[in-house]
Amino acid sequence: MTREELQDNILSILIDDFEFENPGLDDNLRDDHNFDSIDAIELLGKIEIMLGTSLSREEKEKAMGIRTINDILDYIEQLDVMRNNS
Amino acid sequence: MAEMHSSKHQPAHFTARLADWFVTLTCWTWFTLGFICCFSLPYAYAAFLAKDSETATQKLNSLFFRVLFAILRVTAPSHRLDIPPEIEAIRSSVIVCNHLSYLDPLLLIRTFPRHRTIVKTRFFSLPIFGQVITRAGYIPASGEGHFARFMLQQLETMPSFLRSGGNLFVFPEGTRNRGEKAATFHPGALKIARLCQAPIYIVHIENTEVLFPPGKFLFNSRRKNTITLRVVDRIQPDYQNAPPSVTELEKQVLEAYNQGSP
Repeated sequence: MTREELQDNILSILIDDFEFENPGLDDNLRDDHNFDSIDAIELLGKIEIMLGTSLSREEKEKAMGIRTINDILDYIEQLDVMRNNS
Repeated sequence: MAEMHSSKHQPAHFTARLADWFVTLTCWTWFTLGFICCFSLPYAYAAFLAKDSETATQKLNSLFFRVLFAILRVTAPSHRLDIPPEIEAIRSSVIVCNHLSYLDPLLLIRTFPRHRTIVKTRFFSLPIFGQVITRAGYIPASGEGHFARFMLQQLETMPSFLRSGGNLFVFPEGTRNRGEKAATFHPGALKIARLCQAPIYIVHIENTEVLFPPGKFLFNSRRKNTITLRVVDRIQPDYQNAPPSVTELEKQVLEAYNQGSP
């Protein structure tokens, strides 16, 4: 999946399931969209479905520090790289 | 004349204050010595030896506060507790509640032996108390920093906890509300209900602030009062066919929540 495709998928999840309005890639998720830790956990479940793979506890913990949509995209790309290398 | 009037009432006022001090000190004695003498060993057992440490700790918490409210019933008999059976029968649900006094969480812990709740993150760092709430499976309000792992663990096990009959109770206003309508409403509980596909009960607490007024150290022991819990509404969204957004849930809950205010 290219970064653009990933971005489209993530944006559509954030708009449809998390009620984001006009999300910007560098918006602060918490301050601008009230996206909290519970949302992060729900989003991780959707990322698992999107990637067709389960995330480990350590991988999920890393995601709890995410601040922006660009961070989410970087996080998924890193997951992809790590899985391809292992 | 005014001086005579006030001096006439001084002994009654003094007796009332004395009664308030007695009730307050008795409760604090239970919190400290009662915990050490009667509950420290059972808590240690629950923490290190029980098969299901979380459930055992929750039940001990519930028992501890049952005794506290029994002490209050004896030492402050003008206060009554009215908890209908329909409240005690609630299972496998997310319960959202108004918040009037520090007694509210204690009352709900007393009422629901199997419970989890969301607690201010800083409390998890306190000695003993932090250990008890961690063992009981309570959830930190924020999953930042080193609480990320713990919050993940608690939320991952939440669906099975609810399915097995446990309740999650939450005060969505976050702090005690001294007005009639809901103050700032944190939708975290509704997000968890949606995540776990659980029914939502809106429960209204009344008059705990009469017994233990916000901002006071002393219990107000002598006033005639009935502390009540009542179900205002039960929301069972159709999560399978028409999953609601958090905003929709929040709207429904807030309507019921504000209707429940006297």
